[in-house]
Amino acid sequence: MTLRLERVAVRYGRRIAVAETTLELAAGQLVGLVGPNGAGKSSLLKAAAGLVPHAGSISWRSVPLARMGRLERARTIAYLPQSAGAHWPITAAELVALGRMPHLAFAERPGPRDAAAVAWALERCAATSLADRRVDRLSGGERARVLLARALAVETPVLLVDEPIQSLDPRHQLNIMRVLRDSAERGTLVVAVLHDVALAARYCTRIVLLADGRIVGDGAPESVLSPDALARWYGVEPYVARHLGEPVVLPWRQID
Amino acid sequence: MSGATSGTASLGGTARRLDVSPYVLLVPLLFAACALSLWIGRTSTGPMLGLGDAAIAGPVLLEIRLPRTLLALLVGGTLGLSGAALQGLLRNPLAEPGLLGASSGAALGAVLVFYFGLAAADSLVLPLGGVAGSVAALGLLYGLAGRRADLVTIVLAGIAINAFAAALTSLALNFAPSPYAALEILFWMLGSLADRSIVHVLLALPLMLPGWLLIGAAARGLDALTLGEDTAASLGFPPARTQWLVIGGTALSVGAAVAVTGVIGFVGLVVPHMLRPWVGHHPRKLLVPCFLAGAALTLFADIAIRVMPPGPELKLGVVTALIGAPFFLQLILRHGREGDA
Repeated sequence: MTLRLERVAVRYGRRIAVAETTLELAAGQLVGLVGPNGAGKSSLLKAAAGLVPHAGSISWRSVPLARMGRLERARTIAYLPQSAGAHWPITAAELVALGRMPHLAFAERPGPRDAAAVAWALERCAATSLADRRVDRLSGGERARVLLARALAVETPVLLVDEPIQSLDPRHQLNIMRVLRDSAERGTLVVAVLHDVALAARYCTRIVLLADGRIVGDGAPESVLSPDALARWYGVEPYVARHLGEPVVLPWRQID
Repeated sequence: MSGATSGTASLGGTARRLDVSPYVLLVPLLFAACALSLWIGRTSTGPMLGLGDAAIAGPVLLEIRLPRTLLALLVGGTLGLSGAALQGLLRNPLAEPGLLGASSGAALGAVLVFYFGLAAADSLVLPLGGVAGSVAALGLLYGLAGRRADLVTIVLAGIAINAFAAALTSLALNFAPSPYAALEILFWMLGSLADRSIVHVLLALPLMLPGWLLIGAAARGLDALTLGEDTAASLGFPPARTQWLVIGGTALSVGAAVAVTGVIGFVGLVVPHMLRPWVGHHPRKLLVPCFLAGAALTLFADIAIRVMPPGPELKLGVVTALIGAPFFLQLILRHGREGDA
């Protein structure tokens, strides 16, 4: 079960955001999409989610997404954008329930199957106690958990998340990363755009490093996020170590 | 996006939930409004209760009261429905059917019919002109904004079309062949249901029906848009699709409404506002209740006109504006207070 991006390229007018990229991502992986600002991470993720026009083809289990119906595609790939929110003051449970829309036919009411998926997603994100709260009155950390629960509630084999931990405190960052890792371990393909290389190294099973719209590194966290690579692509010198068997990659100092 | 979230959310009112279905109130209310509208009429001497002599009861009911009631129902329902759909689409509680230029286009089309003195030729020329104006405005909007346009471009194009239609309407008034023609144009623009026949119903309905269906087809897309455009697209409801369904549906149904009754403001703004907290702020669940409430509000406004003391008949658009403007003001004041808090 793989998501295959074949010669995928994204351009905005004349600017090339992602140059021709071929990538194969397997179920059960937590893939960290990292790279400096403007590297094309979000564009590549959006292309995979079918949200921006792109060249090349993307297929899941050898079925091109272009040949899937709108809702079938939505049942295959869930996407959580950066800094999402709700435009109306609905409750957290109602927000998460919107994730069930691809499973419902026109005018079909949500059934017990949908209620179970919503409850499960809320529980996974430790958001069950927030269910009846209005989303516009949640704190940043609470909102991030509810939004991730919305993406999980779609119950797709592929989950794409863009910057899920930005502007969260350390505890909530670890919490969200744990949920993503758990999803991968249960067999979901999770692809996350991450700015925090330390958390990427700690939690991801695979790192894809992008720079200037090209893949410049792909593999295990420690090998891709090497001191050389961080110096070359980020311009930083890291502190590298191991703690309890997990890699520690901490950007330490800017290289002039 | 989080800024927009809190802004529209507080303007959307409190999330106070009523456990009673809105239909429990709205359906009986609409039936009562229809019954009253059929029972209360107006003659030159003022209000008239009942149908009068047995000899004229049939024609009074079938040729005067029934068409007027049906039109109020269709037009009010259309305004409420399209207001709810547009507010959901733009995720802005201040959106209104007039926003996209469909009503001003329809108004211009009708005014041109007056201007060239064609209205006298056949009572059908006027509404046909209105429909043509509305369709032309939509075509222009589509041409200006393009197929995949973002909402800001569409709203700006709507504002431009509104301004242009208003300018041409003023021009027609300026060069009106006679003061009488100018007055006729002005009165028509105020919006009224008086002296309409079943022909007007039959003219408007074939355009309104597909309009309603288009808006209905967008219902789930509106719910998905609650989470923003990217999330809506990832849920299988691309915003561009929702957008053109709502815009096309609004242009058809509101265009047809304006074409037969003139401009009736504020119904499409006020009704979704009042009902939104009641349906838990779900754009989809808001649609049908807004149709019913819009119809009821318009019927009651039109009944109020008929029970006024003898004298020149008040125009419906004037009454809805008199009800709607203070409501709008109260909305702004409340928004200001919540902003301070």
